Amino acid sequence: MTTINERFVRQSFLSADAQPTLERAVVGLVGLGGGGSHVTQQLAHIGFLNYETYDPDAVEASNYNRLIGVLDGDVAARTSKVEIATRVIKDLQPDARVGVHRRRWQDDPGPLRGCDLIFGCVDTFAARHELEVFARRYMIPLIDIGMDVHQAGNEPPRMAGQVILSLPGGLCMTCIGFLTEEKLAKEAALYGAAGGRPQVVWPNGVLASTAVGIAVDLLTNWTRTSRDVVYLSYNGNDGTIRPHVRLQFLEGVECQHYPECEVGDPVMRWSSSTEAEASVR
Amino acid sequence: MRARVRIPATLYAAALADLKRPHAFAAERVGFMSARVGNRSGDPMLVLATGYEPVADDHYIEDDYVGARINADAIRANMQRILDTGEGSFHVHLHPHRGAPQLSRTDRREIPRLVKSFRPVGPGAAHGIIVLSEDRALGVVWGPGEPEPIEADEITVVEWPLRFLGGRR
Amino acid sequence: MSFPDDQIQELKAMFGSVGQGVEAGVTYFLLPGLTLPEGCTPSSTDALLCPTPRDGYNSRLFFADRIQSRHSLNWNAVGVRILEHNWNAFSWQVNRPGLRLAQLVSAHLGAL
Repeated sequence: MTTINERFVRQSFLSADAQPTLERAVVGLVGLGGGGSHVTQQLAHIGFLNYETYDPDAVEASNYNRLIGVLDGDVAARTSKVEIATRVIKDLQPDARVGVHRRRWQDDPGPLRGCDLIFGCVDTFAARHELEVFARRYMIPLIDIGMDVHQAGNEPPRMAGQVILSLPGGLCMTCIGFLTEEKLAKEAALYGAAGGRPQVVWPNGVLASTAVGIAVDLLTNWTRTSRDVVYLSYNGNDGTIRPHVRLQFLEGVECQHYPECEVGDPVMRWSSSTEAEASVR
Repeated sequence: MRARVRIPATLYAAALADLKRPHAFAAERVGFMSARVGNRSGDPMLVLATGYEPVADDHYIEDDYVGARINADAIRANMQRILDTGEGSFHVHLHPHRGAPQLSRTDRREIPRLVKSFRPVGPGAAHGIIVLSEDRALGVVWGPGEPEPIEADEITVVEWPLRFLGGRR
Repeated sequence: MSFPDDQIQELKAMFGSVGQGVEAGVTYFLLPGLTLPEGCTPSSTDALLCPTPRDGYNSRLFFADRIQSRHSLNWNAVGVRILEHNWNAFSWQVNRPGLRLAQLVSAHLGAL
């Protein structure tokens, strides 16, 4: 049987402190579909030991083309995505602690607040916005991944994706132009009509790997390059991933959407029925 | 119950820079970090730093037996800040060495008294002490309404890279 | 964004106590235990007014519960997290500019 040190000897270049840091970090995984399942597998291989996993869904037949860890029979058994993720983690790291939340994170946010880092692998702009608001409130770095395929007329489908690091104190998804009121409005108008979006395994792999690389660097600083925002744009048609062009125009810009003082449990200012002055409750 | 402290990089840098400044007679400097509570009914409770206020130079009392002694004006100014903002307050000072800092005998005697004076003006907030070293930190937290303090599980400076300064975790 | 104090006073005069919170730069008004129009189940619930554009609506009124009313409503915001609570809203566009806060609340309640 291999020893734990032997398992990670090939990643010792990260630094002497790296493995203990990765092992003590608590990682939140929101969304365990195509992207999230890839992330989960890689984190387990690297040696992360503390997870909070969130996804309300059971696996469906249409997930088989991309959900890492799914086995033949899981659909018939109505296996949940969080169970599959737990299985993947535990098969590699039997001593890992996995918080298993077969629900939306909004319905049980407590464990997610305690995370050091969150991977957001969700489907909609609205879901991304909600998760980012939460992560900023509790000062948690958020790494978001996502992909989509668009087809216009007779043109070949265009496959695109993104990897974004939203670091408290740094630029947010609204600052970088990824989240806009226009996109949120358009998405809200389509509510319920979207149907199953095109999804395949290989772009998920690219995006997940990139996201995990960012997480490991954020925790270990092995590249010794400081970044306060990451916005990588993936072109699935030519297989490239590169910093989004918009970042060039954001040097010196500071985030105005999440003041550093607006953290913690929300504080409501109440207008009492008898006094004109508001008091904080 | 556990507590985790998270400090924005800018505040951490500001606190360190201030605490490293020499004082005319005090061997150490003191500041107060304000903080909001997150996940107050959950575990871990989060202490999220929102500001840092140095103790003014003329609010120190000369005392050869301790590293720093601050006067009643410093305490009153801090209590006013707690009252105005509703945010908690953490006594902060720096031990100029590498490695995990410890509470001194003076800290263990004086900080509970300080927290006792903060709580009536900030009952919904967490208060306590954070001791920094060159590369680590120790935090002791009195949660809102909690009779006993707890040592912070982790103290994290939120920046690239994430810096875990220590704790019981 | 700040709102005129007289409009906030008007809200509390009409609906009882009013809480004000800000999240990601957006101001919300919390109306605890808002009494709903006749025929609604529940008859009262906590409500959260967003008086500024959001999700393609000029304003939105969120509720702690999904309300059963005499009208068929499209609840297209379900379990949305705002100010660390989950909220629900039906699709209803109020297209009358210049409404005061209390009038906005009434305009949304009118759809129930």
